Amino acid sequence: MRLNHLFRDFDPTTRRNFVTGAAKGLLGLSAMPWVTRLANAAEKKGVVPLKPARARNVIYLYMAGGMSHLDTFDVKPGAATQGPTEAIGTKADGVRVSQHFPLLAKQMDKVAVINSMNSNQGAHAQGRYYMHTGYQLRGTIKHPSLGAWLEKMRGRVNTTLPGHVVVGGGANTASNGFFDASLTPLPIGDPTAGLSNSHRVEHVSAERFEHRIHRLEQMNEAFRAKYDARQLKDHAKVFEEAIKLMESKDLEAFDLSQESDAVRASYGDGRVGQGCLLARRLVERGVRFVEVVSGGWDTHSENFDRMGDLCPPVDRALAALLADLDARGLLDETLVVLATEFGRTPDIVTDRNLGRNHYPKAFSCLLAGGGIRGGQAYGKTDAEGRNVIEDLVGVQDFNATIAYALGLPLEYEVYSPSGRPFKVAHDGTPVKALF
Amino acid sequence: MRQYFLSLLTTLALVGWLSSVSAQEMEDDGMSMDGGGMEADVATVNFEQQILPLLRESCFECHSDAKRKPKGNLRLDGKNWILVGGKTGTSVVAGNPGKSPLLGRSSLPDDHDDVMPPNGEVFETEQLQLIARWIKEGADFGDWTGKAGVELPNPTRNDASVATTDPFASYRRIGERLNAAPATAIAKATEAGARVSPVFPGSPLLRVEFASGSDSVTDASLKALAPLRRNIAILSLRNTAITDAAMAEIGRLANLVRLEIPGTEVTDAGLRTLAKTKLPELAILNLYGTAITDAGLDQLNYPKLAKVYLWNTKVTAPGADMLGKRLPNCRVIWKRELPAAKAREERGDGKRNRKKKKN
Repeated sequence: MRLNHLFRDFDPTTRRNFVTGAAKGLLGLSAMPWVTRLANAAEKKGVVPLKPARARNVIYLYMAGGMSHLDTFDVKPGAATQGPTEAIGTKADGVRVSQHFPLLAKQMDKVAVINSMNSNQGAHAQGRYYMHTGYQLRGTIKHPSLGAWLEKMRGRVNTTLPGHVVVGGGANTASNGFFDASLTPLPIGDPTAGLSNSHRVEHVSAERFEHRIHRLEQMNEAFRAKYDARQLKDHAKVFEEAIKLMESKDLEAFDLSQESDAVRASYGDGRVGQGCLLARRLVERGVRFVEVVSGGWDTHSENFDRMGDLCPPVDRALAALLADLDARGLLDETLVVLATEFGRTPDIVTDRNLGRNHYPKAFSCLLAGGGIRGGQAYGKTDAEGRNVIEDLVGVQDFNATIAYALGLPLEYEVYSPSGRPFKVAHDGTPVKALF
Repeated sequence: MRQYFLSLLTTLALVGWLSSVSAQEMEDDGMSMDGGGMEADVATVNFEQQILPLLRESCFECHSDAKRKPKGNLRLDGKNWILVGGKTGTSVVAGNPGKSPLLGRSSLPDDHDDVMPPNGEVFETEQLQLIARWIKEGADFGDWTGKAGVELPNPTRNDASVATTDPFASYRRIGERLNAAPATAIAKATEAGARVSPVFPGSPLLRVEFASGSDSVTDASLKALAPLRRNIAILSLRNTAITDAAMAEIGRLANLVRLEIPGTEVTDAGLRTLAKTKLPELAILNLYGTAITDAGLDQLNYPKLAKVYLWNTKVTAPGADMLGKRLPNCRVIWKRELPAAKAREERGDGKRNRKKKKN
């Protein structure tokens, strides 16, 4: 765990610096002024005006890099902008997808496609940040992403497991923002590797481990009595939870080897497939929000070749995930999202072996389960996929739709450390026609 | 062109006749109507002799158990099937031909997309008039019952159809007649390992979950729920150690909407015990991963049941079909359609691409 680092960094700094500096930088704890503390207290009293929720959990597939809408879910057969990608029919009348999604096509009766997504952020970091938080990236504040909002407002279902998890993402996507450090997502790099550092090392016996923890507690106790700071409590909480998880049967949720080879192969053996399988296992045990990141969608060059590599693992993973959730009775309460930061230019760049560049003006996302009415395509772009001509869905609206499904109050304001009010989906309006 | 005129005339004639019928609604002696040109034949229409042959000849091909999935989920081969109706609700409203889709759909112009029977095999005007008269006279089936297999829902049928689309409508409705559960009872249940939360904020109805996969959750764990009986709407016991013995207690949860017992030791015997209990609100029953067989399902008949999960049980395909037929408003999930495992060429994940980009 992080204990070693903690002590290593402990010596050269003063105690006070440890509180304000090391804890902040090393552990990601941010100073929580009285405003937020009041807000927290209010929430504990049940003042957060939560609403009926259709969805309880979210599995959020994120296509990092910007997924081409024309080559996936907004196909325009015959248009000059379509290139060689072909359209295929699906199980849902009137919904077509590209040739790269033959497996998902059979599950499209469960999926709502939004073809009228629109963002104003055309660069990766900015677009990604906007999709995850509903706010624009700026230097003065870090906004929480949807998973953190959900955990903050709804709490955890299973208190042993982390409230929200990011698979294969790195730290720059989901974040607790200005919320407590305890709302930081648990990052998992390789879904097949289990939860790293979660087992007691062999040469330390259970007794000895307990003894060490006890000793640590004694030291901390004195320290905490002297410096009564919120960050310290946050850290203690994270630490305590980690130990609880180490000893828990729930830990096996992370162990994909408990799934049969057939099932694992069915999800696909890449990171997305195994990530989705892990997501299912976690949601089944009460983790609220799992993001699975698929990288490499930034197809400036060789767009059409690369779509043939990028799409099939996602096609397979998502098709398997939907079928699996459905058979287990989990799809009713699990909102499955496929999102990306922007689409790609309808105009094909010929000097880079047929590439496509960034295009936030129009792109596509998917929603399924969690009360979403499947088998529908919402919103339209023009004949060449250039502009949204019907039912525009902005990034904030998209997030508002997710929040609405989860019963999170869209108007409820939470204050940042600097005292500014923020809302779960900013000023977005949910697309109720999707339910 | 000629055909169009003919169909127009037919429709006009029928519409005219229907309105003449409604104009006479105020008359106290219904028998005195002349039936739009028909002679004063006062004998009431006999369903079995006059209507049934029409249905058999023109409708049964698609709307009977001859099809695994009758069109529009509508069967016309039994009295109760006709009254229950299909996807869009009842097909016959006794006494009201104008509100009976059976007549409405058949009276559309011949070239209308939705006209029944399809493919140009439409009813003759006289036949339509006969059906209209039969409905007007109260849609009496006489002694005929036809194929069984469906129980007539109670008069609160509207609620049932709402429950399938929006569980919150039923949570709200049920919640209105309940008081909040006492905090001490909730605390007691929590102590016994249950996670208790309202189904939505402010609702007296509760969701009660036990940790999935926990061996320590047994039949005895349910005892702590007794004081909450009326308040529990969702009970989740996924992969716990409960057995058939728990079913009687579960059957006492009068307002249970969703029951999840997948992966438990529950068997046919337990399911039969459960089926004997009255769970008037039960909409979702999750049994996947249990050892349930076809035999366990035969007694299952809750009025509002909308979904039954049977994947990975010993229930056979025909057994699942039978249940779906017996409960036409209920979706039976029997299969898990995972994509067939395939080859390694699907790996990708953009690794190759990322390398390329560095160049």
